[in-house]
Amino acid sequence: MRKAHALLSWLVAVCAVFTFVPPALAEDGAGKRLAQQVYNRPDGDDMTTRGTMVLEEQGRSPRVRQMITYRLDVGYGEVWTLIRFTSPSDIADTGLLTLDHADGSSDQWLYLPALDRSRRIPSARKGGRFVGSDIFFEDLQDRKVDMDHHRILGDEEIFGVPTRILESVPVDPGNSTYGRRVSWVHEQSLLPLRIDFYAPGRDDAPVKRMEVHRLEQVQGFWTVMDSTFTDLGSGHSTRVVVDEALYDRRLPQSLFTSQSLEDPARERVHRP
Amino acid sequence: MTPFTESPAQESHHSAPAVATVLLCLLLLLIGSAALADAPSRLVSEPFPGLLAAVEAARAVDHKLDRVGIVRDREANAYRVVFEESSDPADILNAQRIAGQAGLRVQVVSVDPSLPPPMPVAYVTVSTFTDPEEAVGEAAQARNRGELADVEPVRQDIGLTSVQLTGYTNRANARRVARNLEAEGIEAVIFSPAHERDYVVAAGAFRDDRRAREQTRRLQVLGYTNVSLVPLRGQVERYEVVVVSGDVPPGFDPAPGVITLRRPPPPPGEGVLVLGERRDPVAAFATPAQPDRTARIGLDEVRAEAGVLTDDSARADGSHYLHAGIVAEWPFNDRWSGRLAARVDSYIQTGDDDFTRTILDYGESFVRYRAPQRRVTLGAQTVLWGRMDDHAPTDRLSVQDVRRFMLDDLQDRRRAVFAARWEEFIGEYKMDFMVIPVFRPAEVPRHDNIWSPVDRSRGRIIGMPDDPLLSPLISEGRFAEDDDGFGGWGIRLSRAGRGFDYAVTLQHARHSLPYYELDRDVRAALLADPNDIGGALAASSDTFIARHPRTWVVGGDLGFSVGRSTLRFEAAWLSDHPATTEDLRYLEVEAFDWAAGVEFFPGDADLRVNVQVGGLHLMTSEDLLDRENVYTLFGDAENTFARDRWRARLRYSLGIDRHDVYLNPELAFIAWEPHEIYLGYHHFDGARDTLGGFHRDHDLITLGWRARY
Repeated sequence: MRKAHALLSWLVAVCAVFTFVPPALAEDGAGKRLAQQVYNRPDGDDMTTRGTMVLEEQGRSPRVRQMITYRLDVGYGEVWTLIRFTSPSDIADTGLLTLDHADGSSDQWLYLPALDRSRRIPSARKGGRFVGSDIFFEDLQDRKVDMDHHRILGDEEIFGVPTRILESVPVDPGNSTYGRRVSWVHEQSLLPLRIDFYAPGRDDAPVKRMEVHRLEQVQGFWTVMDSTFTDLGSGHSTRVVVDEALYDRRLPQSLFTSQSLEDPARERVHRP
Repeated sequence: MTPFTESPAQESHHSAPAVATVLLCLLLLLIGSAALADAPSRLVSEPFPGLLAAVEAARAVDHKLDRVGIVRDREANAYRVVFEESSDPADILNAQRIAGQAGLRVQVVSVDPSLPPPMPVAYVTVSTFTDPEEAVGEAAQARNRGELADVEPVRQDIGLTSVQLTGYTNRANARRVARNLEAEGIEAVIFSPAHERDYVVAAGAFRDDRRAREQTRRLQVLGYTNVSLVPLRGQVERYEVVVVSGDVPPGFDPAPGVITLRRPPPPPGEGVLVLGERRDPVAAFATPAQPDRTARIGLDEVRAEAGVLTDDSARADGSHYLHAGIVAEWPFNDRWSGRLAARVDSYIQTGDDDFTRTILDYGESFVRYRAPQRRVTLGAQTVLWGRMDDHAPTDRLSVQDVRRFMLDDLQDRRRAVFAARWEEFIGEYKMDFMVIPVFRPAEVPRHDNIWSPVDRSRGRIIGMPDDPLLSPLISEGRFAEDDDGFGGWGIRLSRAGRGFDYAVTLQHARHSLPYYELDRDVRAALLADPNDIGGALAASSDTFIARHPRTWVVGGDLGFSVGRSTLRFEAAWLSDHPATTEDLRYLEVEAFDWAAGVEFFPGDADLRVNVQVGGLHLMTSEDLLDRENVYTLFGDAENTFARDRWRARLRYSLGIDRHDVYLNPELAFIAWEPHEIYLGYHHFDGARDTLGGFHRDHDLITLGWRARY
């Protein structure tokens, strides 16, 4: 089973899977089927991206983070990812290694170049902003379809593109920082073109929105090349742009070890 | 089969037989229409031997007919497209017209209710397999789901680039290389080309030249210099599994192998979907990424800090700091790299004891060798073993820098030391071996510095109780260093993997921080006549000797996550820890140093809290001046706010068994990357024989700027 996980293009695919519905609402088969299709969407055996994250805020100069991400679908439900920041210089070489296991558990390590040490961090963490962005740690994590109730709310066009609206609510409210998510899923690519995130107990208005600006087929795989996460309360937004994406490069498993995490030179030879 | 064709226009001259024929036809048509009204008919295509050909025929009328499907014609062992199925002749005629316009050959047949209904052509997936059995299995699975599926063999001409390691004169060598490649996850095949004696290890064949070049690069990184790219041409047999579904099938593949009949391709171009207004290219904001493999030279880190002491009783009123580091790095090739680094530190103290002291020192400067399973580093390097933050009991080989006591973060409280380090990687495990040929003691400030561990003005040494016998000796005596000789060695086996991380270590190290031994002759003189300080001082050329005793260290650490917390444990047994008896005799005793901690995020938000408890136990029956058991609560709490523009942090170290306080709140503006401006406060308090008590007059407010380039 392929899993959508990690930061850039696959990020939105993950987000789509865990959309919320008030617990009182019953799940429908079509909703779960669509969520499963999004989860299973073809995304290659491995993926490498070179991307940029721009933190934008009204009246302030944007802050830019550049990074390389690697994802390897090991098989049997195992997905491994490595994120390496390349700029700005004060966080360059910082790395995040995540090993998602088939049983839903994960192991995660953060490499801090100043100490030349990696430290295990709790992978169950959901809230908290990823490098100060509008992306929460939960948004980066793999989430199984069964962790949410799903239902179809209808069809709607976004910029003239037809989508199905998928609503998801966590089965266990304690395992998500969101109370509900609504995804506008583009059925051809099985990627959400928009996701509205609702805070627990606040069904009236979303608190955050993800919008896709550009989808592109790379080596036959639909890839989110440009998207924005916006905090609807403050207007602060985080734009995530994939400058280059490559699939099925046969990334070695040795890239997803503490050895590579702690030695950027080892990882550097795999950069696109 | 009866193709429907337009009848030629009739001539306008009618004969009686012709009229009769027309009337008869009308009658038959009426009868036929009545029959059609009772039993539905199908407008079907000619039979197609393959499912994909039937799909193509269906696509020809896409968007014009709503109920296009495909049925399997078992008798003809073929597939037919059903363009329309209706009891209304008008529907059939309409479909016939559209199909005719598309150039398709069609016929009307009656519907056999015993046969399955046509499969609506909503989604078509075409998957390619190299293994025919796998293809047949895939088709069978689709049929079991009620979908229409067929396997169609195809032959493809392809061009490949084979990546080969050439020139192995015997098969054993080639086999060894193949094994090494497979250990790296690279499939390898050994063969001997015709008319050649050598063996070749093929490390993959690629249709994409770029991937072939990437593979070449990988092999070169692994140290293979005999890589050749060989173009190949050939024909491969593939098996296409065509599946037609009425609904979105599981694992629906929207890649080019898929034809969706219900949705038009996305604008503006195939394979690209742009939503909303065109946005500025992000590159406009971006700092160019660091090149992958180029030499780098320049500033590494710069820092300036002004510090004001708040206590009037302190010997100084200001303690300021300037620091700059420069670095040059050269990746010689994929295996070898070099680094040279230097640092300059200026310590400025104002007040009664004022000075400005600038010190030039080397930074991490080494030559490094990398191979897939190992890394070897020779030269000056900083190595921190252990798992705990701030104080790791098994971190015994690193060189401490206490020129500013503990005002700085851990990474700034270490210096490089010349060493040879060998790291061997075996799966999840790492064996780390380090030898330090020449000992480098901790960087300690001179005695006129308020952060010195020796306070000569008050006759005190940090961590020791006030002693009326020692005080005058500390104030007036001479201090010598015993820091020559071998630095030590250590080995650490660590594992980072699923569920938990751990390490065990054995070291023969020297204590980095000095421990001040009262000279034996001075002690003897002092004990003979405690009131004769002058005589005691004259008994030896040196009053105190700064010792760095050797010690065996056996230790380990463990880390794992529970829920949203990470737990860490670390402990070390030391064979020799310096101590002083109540009668001022220096000795080395066994010690046990341990720490346990938890890191968590309250409210699952941005606040990170690290709480650690540590203990040091000197295991001896002697009566010591030193504290035999020290328990400390230490760690930090950090939170960023205003979208990561500000960072608030508190570092703390609190004595559990004794009043001993160090608090360091700090507020930093971090949005001006890579610069950071911070305002901090260092508060010390405690009993006189504690660290906090020793510096209780040195509360400090700091304002600083630092940047990392």
